[in-house]
Amino acid sequence: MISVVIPAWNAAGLLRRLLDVLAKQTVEHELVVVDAGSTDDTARVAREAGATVVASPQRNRSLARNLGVAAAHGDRIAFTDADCVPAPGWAEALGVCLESSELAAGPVRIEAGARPNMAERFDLLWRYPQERYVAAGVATSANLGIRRDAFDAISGYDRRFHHGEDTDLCLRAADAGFGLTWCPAAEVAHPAATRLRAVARRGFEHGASASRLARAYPGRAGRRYWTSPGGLIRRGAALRALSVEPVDDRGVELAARIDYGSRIAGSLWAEVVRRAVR
Amino acid sequence: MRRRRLDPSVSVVIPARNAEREIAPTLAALAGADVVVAVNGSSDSTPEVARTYGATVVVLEQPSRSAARNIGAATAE
Repeated sequence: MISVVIPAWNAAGLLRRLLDVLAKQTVEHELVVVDAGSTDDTARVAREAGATVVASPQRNRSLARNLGVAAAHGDRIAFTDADCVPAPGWAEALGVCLESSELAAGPVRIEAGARPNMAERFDLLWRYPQERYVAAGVATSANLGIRRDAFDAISGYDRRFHHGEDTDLCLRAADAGFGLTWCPAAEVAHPAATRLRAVARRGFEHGASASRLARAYPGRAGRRYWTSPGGLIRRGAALRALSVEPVDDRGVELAARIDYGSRIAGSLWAEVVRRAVR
Repeated sequence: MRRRRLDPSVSVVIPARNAEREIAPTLAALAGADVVVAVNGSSDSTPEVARTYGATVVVLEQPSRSAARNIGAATAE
């Protein structure tokens, strides 16, 4: 059986949508929701959908996913997030991919409204290059499957990584000899950021975790954004840093610069406030 | 009385279900240790009592002792 593990914090509305969609999955599965101290109806929504509910003592995504796996009964685990919307065949496809590989990751398709604003247009352009991530041996947990025995063998997520925890997990899995396969049939939709403030916050967290990953995995993962501020100055450079060809859209260019600037700020913060790992 | 020094690398994991009365003396005896109480399927005040004694509390709403042990172990530092 495959167990779907979802960390959630004050996400009752999004979670209701996700659990409705998961009820239409084409394969039998178990639902585990880990509630990190929500003050809204998150736990009740999960309970009503028949999910196993775990209350985590901390707001930490790594810990939450570890707790979810500990409470799960499946021999295969599928991770997604409360704000995602998996396709009906998602869990089944991921389960099949996990027969030939210990880890499997599928596409994360960004969705936006009919008239996307600049933050949404920016996200539509670059997020998530999951196939490219998988080719580099990593994947985002928004759509990641792993065999339970492999997860246990590497002691799950490292809770010292609050962000970048999925990269760390995949690299440790690779070191342990586990394979990660691209699973194109297991699709998950994810909403684009709708506000520049959200782009900035995400960029900051990404910059900080990229610095920590660079320290933990020199030459292998992560990046110290503050050492290359050029992306902020040269036109189109912020987009090229995300492997996207620049487009003739001033809004997107602005969002990309805000993202890149936030990454620099986050990487500086991680270097100075050495909440270091390893 | 001098309290014994407890090995900080060892965490004590206690699965508990509707144990608000029984758990207090256990936690009192474990004062100073890193204790994780894995409450499962409880409808009483076991989580609150455990928090009073400084234990880390993780709650599984469904009753399952083996799953409770697993989540307790996953919570322990």
